[in-house]
Amino acid sequence: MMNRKLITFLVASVISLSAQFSHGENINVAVAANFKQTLQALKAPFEDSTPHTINIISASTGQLVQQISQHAPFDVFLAANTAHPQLLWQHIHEERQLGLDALAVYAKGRLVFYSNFSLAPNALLSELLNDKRYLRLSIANPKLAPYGEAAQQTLKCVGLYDSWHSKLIIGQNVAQAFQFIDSKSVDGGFVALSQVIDKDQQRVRIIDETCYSDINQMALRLNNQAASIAFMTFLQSTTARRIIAQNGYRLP
Amino acid sequence: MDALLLTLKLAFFSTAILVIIATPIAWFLAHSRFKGKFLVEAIIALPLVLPPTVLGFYLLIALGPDGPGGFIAQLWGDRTLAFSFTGLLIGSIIYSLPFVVQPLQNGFSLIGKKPLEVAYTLNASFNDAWRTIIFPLAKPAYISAATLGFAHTLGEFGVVLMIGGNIPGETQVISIKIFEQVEALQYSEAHMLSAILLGLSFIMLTAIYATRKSANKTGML
Repeated sequence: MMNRKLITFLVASVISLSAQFSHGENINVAVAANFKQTLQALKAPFEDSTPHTINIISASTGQLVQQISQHAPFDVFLAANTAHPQLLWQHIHEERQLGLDALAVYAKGRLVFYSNFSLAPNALLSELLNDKRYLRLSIANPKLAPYGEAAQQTLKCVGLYDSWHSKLIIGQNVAQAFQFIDSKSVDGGFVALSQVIDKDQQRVRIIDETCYSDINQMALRLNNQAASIAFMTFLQSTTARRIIAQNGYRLP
Repeated sequence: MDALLLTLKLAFFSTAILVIIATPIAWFLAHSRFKGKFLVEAIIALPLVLPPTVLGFYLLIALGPDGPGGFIAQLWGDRTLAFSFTGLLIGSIIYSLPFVVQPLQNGFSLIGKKPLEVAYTLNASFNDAWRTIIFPLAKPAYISAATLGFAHTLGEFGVVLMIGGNIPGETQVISIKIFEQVEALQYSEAHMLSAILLGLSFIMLTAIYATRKSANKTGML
């Protein structure tokens, strides 16, 4: 009796394990710093709805492009802009046999002003920033990060760039710009809405989207593995789109 | 070129301050019979093994509004010492401290206490003894210490990345500038600055090893 049960159990385990190995793959998803938290929220639903699993690797978009062009073992790249993944596609699509369907916009970023002081709800951004309590503001590096570029455009849009640009603290990416504010090293700054979605909303001001050019965030599939294709399909699914919207992004 | 000049300025001031701070510490470590000396040695060696991120993180807090740095910054109406040349200078001094203390400590140990005691018995003043006996004897050690401190500050990256804020002319040192250029795919600019840094570092290390060799010949180090 006992033996038979044990054998049945072992056989069942082997079958289920081999089923996992034959269908499920583990892929590395390289993600721009601003989208990391959202990707973490997407991980479980993806792994529940497919046999595949993902590892999350996060850095700035520029840094990840660098690593991918040096053959880092990444399967999908979620960038914070469109320029970098498009450029990368041009370089690698022949070698890796990627069609144009390897590229897709998965989210549209929104910029906010996040402050260590409460913000008067009806004041204009230019009035808020003229407050003498603000000594320094942080932004992401405009040369490297789309949110930094949008922040620079916003300051120009409200006519404050000239008075502020020498007092801007530049983070390597939007995650560092946020960390400077969060650690109270600076008094406020421009970050992604997704980063402050669970913070005190009295300290958050969503920036008028006419002030900066669209932050279209584009995904690039880096190979034709089943799991990579499944992940790209999942990104366009209703479940994924709902989670992306909940995290402070507009949908493409 | 701004970044290069700023880096040299930072390395120069850090080294100058370090040599002054390190002299009494190194003398103490070389000659004191204090039982807890090993604790002081361990603390001073910490920057050798700690990742720059740990130093950078603690410095960011210490220099900021809730730390001593913020208290000092208040004196002129600011909130933090981070993101300023002063902040970087403090960071560099801590970061390069063991690189200056250890060669001096070795130098002072080799000289021993004798020359100073003899000088005192001949009625030399403290100043005289140091100026005419210890400094000349310890010259190779000082050259090693200063060059190592200078070179190590030139190569500083992680700490600056965390407390600098990448401000041109204020905190954007050469290593940060190179990092930014590589990320922005500006390879030719990155190549140029990297080559300058490589050349400088090589020249300095050559100087250290050359002086070490001549010091060995005279039985000094």
